[in-house]
Amino acid sequence: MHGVRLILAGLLALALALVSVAVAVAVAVAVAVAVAVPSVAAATEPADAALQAAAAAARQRAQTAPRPRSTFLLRSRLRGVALAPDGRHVAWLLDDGRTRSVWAMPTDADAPRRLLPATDAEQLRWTRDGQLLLVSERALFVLPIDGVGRLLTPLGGADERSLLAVDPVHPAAVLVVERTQATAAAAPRGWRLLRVDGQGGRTVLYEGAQQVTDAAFAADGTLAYLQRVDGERLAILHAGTGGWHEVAHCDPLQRCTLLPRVGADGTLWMRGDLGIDRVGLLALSPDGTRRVVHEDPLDQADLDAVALDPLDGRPLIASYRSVAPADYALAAAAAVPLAALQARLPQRELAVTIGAARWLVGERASTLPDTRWHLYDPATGILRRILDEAPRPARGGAAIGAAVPWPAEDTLAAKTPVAWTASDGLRLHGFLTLPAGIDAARAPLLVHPHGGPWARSGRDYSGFVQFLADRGYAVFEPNFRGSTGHGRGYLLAARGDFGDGRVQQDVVEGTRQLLARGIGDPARVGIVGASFGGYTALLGVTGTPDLFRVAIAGVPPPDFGWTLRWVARSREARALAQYIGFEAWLRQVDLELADEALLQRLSDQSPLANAARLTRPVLLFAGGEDRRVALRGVVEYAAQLKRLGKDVALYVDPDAGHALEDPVAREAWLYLTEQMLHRYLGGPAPAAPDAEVARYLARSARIGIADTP
Amino acid sequence: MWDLFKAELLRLRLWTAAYALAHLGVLVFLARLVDLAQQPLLVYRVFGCVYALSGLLLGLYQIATYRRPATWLQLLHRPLAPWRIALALHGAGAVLLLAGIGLPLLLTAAGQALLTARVVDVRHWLLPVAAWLIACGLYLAGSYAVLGLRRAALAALVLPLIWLTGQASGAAAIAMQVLVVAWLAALVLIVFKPDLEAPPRRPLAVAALALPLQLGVYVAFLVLCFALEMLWIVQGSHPLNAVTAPAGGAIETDRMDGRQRLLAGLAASDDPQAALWREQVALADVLSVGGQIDRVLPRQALTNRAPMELDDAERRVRWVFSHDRMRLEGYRLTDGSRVGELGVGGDAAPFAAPALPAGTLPGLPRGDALLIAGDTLYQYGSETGRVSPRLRLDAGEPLAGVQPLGDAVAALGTQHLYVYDGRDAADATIVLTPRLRIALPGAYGDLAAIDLVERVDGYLVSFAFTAQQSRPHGALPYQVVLAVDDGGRVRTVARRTIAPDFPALYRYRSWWFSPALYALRTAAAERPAVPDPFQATEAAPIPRRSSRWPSRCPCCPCSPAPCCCAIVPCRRRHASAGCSPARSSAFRRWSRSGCCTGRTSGPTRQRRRMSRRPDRSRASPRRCDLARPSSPEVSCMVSV
Repeated sequence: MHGVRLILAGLLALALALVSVAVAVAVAVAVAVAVAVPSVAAATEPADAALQAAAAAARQRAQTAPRPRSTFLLRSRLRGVALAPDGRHVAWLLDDGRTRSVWAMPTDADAPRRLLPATDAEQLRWTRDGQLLLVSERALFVLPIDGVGRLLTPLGGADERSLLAVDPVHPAAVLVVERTQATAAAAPRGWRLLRVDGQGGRTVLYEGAQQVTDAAFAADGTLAYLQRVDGERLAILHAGTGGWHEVAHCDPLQRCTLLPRVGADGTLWMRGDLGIDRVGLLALSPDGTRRVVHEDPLDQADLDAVALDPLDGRPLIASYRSVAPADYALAAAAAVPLAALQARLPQRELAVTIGAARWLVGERASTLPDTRWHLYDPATGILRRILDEAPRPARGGAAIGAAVPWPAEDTLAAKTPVAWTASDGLRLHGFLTLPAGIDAARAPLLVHPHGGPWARSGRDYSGFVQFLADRGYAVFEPNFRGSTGHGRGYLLAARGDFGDGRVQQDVVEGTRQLLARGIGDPARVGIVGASFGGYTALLGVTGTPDLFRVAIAGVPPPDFGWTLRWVARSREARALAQYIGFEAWLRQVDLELADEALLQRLSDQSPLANAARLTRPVLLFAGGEDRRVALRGVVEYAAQLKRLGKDVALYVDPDAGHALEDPVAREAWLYLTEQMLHRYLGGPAPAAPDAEVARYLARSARIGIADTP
Repeated sequence: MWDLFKAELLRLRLWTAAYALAHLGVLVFLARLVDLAQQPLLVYRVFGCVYALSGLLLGLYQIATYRRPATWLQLLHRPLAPWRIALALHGAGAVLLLAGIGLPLLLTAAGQALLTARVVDVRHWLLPVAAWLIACGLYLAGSYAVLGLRRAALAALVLPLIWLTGQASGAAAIAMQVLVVAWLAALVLIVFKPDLEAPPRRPLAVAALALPLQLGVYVAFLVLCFALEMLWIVQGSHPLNAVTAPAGGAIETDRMDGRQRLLAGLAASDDPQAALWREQVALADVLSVGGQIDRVLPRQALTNRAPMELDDAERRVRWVFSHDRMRLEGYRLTDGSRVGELGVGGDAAPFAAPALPAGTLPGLPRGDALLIAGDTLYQYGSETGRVSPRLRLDAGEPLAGVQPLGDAVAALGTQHLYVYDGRDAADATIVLTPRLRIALPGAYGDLAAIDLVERVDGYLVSFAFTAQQSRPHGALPYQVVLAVDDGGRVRTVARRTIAPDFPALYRYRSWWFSPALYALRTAAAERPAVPDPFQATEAAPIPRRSSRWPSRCPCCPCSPAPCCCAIVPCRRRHASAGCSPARSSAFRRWSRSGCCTGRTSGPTRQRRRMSRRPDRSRASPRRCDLARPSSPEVSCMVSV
């Protein structure tokens, strides 16, 4: 009897224990769900339908076997494709990895001709009279189509000479800005704007103490407007009867780009955001009054490009690309041809150069690994594909007979614009790429924040994103506040909160909302990025380990404030400072480097200071020649993690800069990313690296890399 | 006398003319190829050796023809005082050397000055004088070697060695040469007498001969040491050529790369962050800092450490520093025509000190170059055609070198390491101000390596002072690791005592054989020279007794002898007083440690006693603790 009571008591206790465990699990799950999927009005997002349609479309696409990593590292052979103003010739640079040659062909025949077998030119331009300009770092050469090239003017050097623009009026001239010689030992050097004609003759158009940054000309070739640095802003001056007088000024972070020709009534056209939030096309009168000629009808994007009339310089087409590609005709003459062109190339980004006889059209899309070039006859509507070049192999330069084709467009994943509302009410934008043939809700989700942070993820082709989608990952590219392309308010909304604060919340909230909308498997979310994107990845995996299971960070600043101060003291600060000093520019985005409290806050919130909180695995990469993110920072962070026994892997390429240029290094990055995601998010296992990549990895491994293959 | 002088000239005129022509031919040929006034030190040394050999051979040959007894008697059997005969013969020899050596050099210098745009300074006009004096010195030494006492014959050859070890420059170097030549002339005159075998008797003459003789013995001893060292090397156990450097020693430290040195330094740190730093050093790229200049360059120094010229490849112009003008003088590399003169700034002011080329820095425009002159770094701008000061060290501290340091720029002075922001380095209009100023934790002359790791908040810097480990005038080797934060605060996080690889007997060999001659030699080398901050050392005190051992005998406190080997006499002395050192625990400990090797650093009297009766049962140097790296100060050798 006594034994029976004991058994009953035991069963009762067991039952109570089971009940309590069940309750605890239920509570825990509820809490976890509450944490993982916040109640941020996800269901009310207006873009949900488009998103679900994109998810359905991706699900319907046929799944392909993983392609070689090198497929996503192919590069174009073409550079600097340019149309002559008369529209009769198109010229381009052909780079086969070893030499770069200059080519041209008439637009009315498919007869390309090599003009120069080798050049170090980076860009091609055309003068108004149809001579080709070869722009390199050190010199500007002129090359007639049927003649012999000659040096027009050296560039760079102690005079800091630079090409401002091709002269929009004179037939064979360019506009050059250079520094003047100091008149006395202690006197500062000034600046001058020159017109250099086809024979090298120099005409000084303006000389002053301030740096000239832009200029616009009247129909007779006289300098009508001038933009110059004035302290920390840019002043726009008009050449009136009494000399130069200021008609407008651009404060720091305001965009002001003058179009090269002014109207018959003296109106200056400019691409800028004076008085408006997003960059649009503005018209400025000599008396200083201005009006908005065009801005994004959807109130989302900055004006990206303007196509000009080759004869009188009038703006004809305005293009917006920050969210969805949109081109608008600004003049009746362009409306019909543009509409016809858009009908032929729907949903494409169009880079239009208008010539007198033909238009040169660059066709871009997230599923086009290279720009497709077309010649378009606006009169007949005939669109002819040109320059259909095979890609340059990822490695080995020009290997004859080893041409690898571009991946087919229908096998690549399209980017879908997504938007979400942050918890403070700001509407934010980004892009989502979904893998083919997989239920979006079950796909592992990778968040891929961009670098900068004053940059943006665009809708253009990204080999890295396509590679991830090819491996079955959904990729979310958030344009968090501080990103460009969506207006100055968007850019400044970060208010310097680049620590584990508002900007980071944008990324986290965007990710949670996507999960709430059924995109991505909440248990398989990773974050991968480079530069500021890498920093965001480290912040994410440190601060929100419940959301992000793994972080892959390339060249990440482990302490953003310290990195900015480090850059400000380095040579890179001079390269980054275009017109005003780097530190002055940072002040405009609420990052005052002399503000010790701000830097201390950023430091306190940094991944470096919070290394002990890290609980997720991290892969780090750093470049020995990186001038934007100090190697020492990454190394110190990795050393901290290693000393604390964290799961960290580090490899350092001693020759790499801030961006990976070496194809072997790029492939190694893909391989390690793939392997890390395979380990921690359950993606496909990577194919073993070839011998060259393996050697590279062995050479650059510092922590936890050696055992990866 | 005049006839004898002329006869001697005539006797050797053909040889001299042939030598002079050949010499001139070589000089002209070389001058067509290179600028002989801007050669590195080695070239001048080779020329000096040739002139010295020429003088020596002339002295040996000329006087040897008179040295046979009959000839000697015939020579001196003239109605002339011996000193006048000597003067005639040696005067002729000096004139012959002037014709064979001085004149071609003078003609070459004149040709360069008159026919080319190359720089010819006062110091270059002094070179024929210096060459002639070198030849004369060895000529007189050769003469003395033939005439002098057999045992003292080589003593005269020792005196010119002062020129090799001396650090005098310019006019002071010429003065030293004149002094030695005068001394040698005096020796020749002393010995130039009918009875060549008779030793000098007058006190002054004895003194004049005694000093070089003693120096000769001193040098012979050093040569013997060198020969023994060669044997040691051949035997294979010399620390420098042993396969494995002695553990914990200076050679091991020198052979380490920067990372290993930093880790070795940090191993001695008890700083709480040392573990993190070790991880960081293992992962990071270790940078090294070094100097480009190793000696101060006085104005009008006769020779160059390195050519004082820089080439502007953009303009095809060579700029050569002129000590006379204290400016750069240029000529075209294409046709050799003169371009002009370049001073500092817009008004072409003279440089404050002789300027040496110092390479370039990342970010400088092509064709630009750096120059170091004293405490200042200058930048030559190819496009601007100007030289502008870029940084100046504190209080006239000589600048040893400038180099990139990650994204910053480092300047090494003789007392500090300076770090500048890289941002301003590329702008020629900015005079750099240091962000960090790190005092060297030792003397520059002792410094062998600076290794550095960048941290987020500053640097971790290791200074290894091992350069003088085998020389008596430097510091005993050690290493210091500093943590420098971004605010410039410097903290010593490790100080590692490094064991000397050589016993003190070796290190102080040039001193203990004769402290007086060592002092004389040092004074002769250093006194006439301009003090050189690059050579400054912190000399460790010469050990008079082993510092590891107690200053008193552990078992015999009444004895001043520090070594346990003094125990033996101590025991004898104090046995009757009831002292029983054998039972003392301290004595037993010393005995067990094997330190009772029969050696002592005690008083001389005791050393003599021990040398007569060595206790071979205890004398086991291999068992001695002295090889232990942790006890570097201990030296058996001192106490031999």
